[in-house]
Amino acid sequence: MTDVLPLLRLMQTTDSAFPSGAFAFSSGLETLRNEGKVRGAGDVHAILTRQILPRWLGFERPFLKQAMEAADDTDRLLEIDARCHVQNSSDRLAEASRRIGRSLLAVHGRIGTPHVSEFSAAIAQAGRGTAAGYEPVVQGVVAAGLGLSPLQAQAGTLNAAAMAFVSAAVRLGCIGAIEAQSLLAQVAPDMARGLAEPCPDRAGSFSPLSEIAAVRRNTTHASLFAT
Amino acid sequence: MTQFIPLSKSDAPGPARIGIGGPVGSGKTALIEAMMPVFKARGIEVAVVTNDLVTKEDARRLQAGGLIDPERVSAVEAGACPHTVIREDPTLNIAAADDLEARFPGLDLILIESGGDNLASTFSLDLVDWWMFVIDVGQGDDIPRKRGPGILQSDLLVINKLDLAPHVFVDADAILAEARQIRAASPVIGCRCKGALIEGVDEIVDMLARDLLFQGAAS
Repeated sequence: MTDVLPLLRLMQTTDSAFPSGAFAFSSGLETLRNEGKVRGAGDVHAILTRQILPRWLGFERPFLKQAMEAADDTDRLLEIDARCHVQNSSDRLAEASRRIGRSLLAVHGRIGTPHVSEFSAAIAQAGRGTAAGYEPVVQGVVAAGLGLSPLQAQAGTLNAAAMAFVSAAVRLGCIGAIEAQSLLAQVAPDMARGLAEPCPDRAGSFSPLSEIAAVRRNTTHASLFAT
Repeated sequence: MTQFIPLSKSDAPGPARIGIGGPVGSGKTALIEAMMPVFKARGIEVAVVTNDLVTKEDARRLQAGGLIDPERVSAVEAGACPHTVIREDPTLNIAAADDLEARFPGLDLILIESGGDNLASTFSLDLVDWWMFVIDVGQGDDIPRKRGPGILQSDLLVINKLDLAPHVFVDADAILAEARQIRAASPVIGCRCKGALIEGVDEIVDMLARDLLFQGAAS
């Protein structure tokens, strides 16, 4: 039972039914769709494998890993979170990350996931309010609280990121719901290969297409998503 | 087996959170606009969260209308999922309401307006303390008897645009009577929010003041 318990909690907390607010973000896909740059499953696959997954592996992953290792040290967590803030060059994606992180803090705080209330209190005490609580940092704190292994935590959050992106693609009419599952199945080996590589010591990413699309998002006309 | 421990509700004092749901074009934003002067006259401090589906039209309309400080209106994106943002995953709305509560400590009410939806729409009680569902006579006189969770489960059913009833071949008294019969003990209020004769809005605010703010009705 003890072996499977963290796995059950991983499946619970990375399921799309777990409330995190992530459904309202498309990582620039809505803009690319509206501009005609994404037209079908091939384009969605290309954006996912060349922009979304590399950004997660290069940028989110190190912060997740570091936060997980520092989950019981709130000063260190605040340092990691501040570095995530400084290195997040896309303001729109940074805001999205904070909003999702904050949602996760609120929900995990209410359901009593260990370490979460302490980190929330540290953010409040530091007076950083809504300027802190980045998604990968919070995910690291949560993963430690749930007793996950580093690989479980990274696989779960990477999979959740891929599913959220593909779900947005379905809602935007880029691909069908069944085609989306085929795409995810085909991308899984790419994700596994990425996770088999060592986690970078320093975070860094180069996903200009999605990052600039998220910034370019039209704020005056129709938009379904926050990025 | 482990013993289930219910999640406790926060008993922290704060503004009551009111959900306002209903189909597209039923008059949710118009109702909020009509209630604003009544709130103001009674000294009830209000902020609003909107969940426009594809634009920020509702938020901008409220901000530009001069009836409320634009800073007291927040727009939350619904990701094409009007149900999700008020029910399955209300976390973004909760965060927006928390922000308004922190920025305006004197608030009495936070109104959370759903994006236009269908009759299956309901609010999570994690998000709101009480919610109303707004339909209008223009959608047809059969809407109440179609039931649906919005019609049946809301704390208040509002039937709007009563003034249009004769023009769309609806008997206003009959639709109100049928709605009351379907909802049994749960309240139904008919209203008109625009034009020379405003009707039912005071009654809705009376109910909010009495049931949520524990104030007496205006004399």
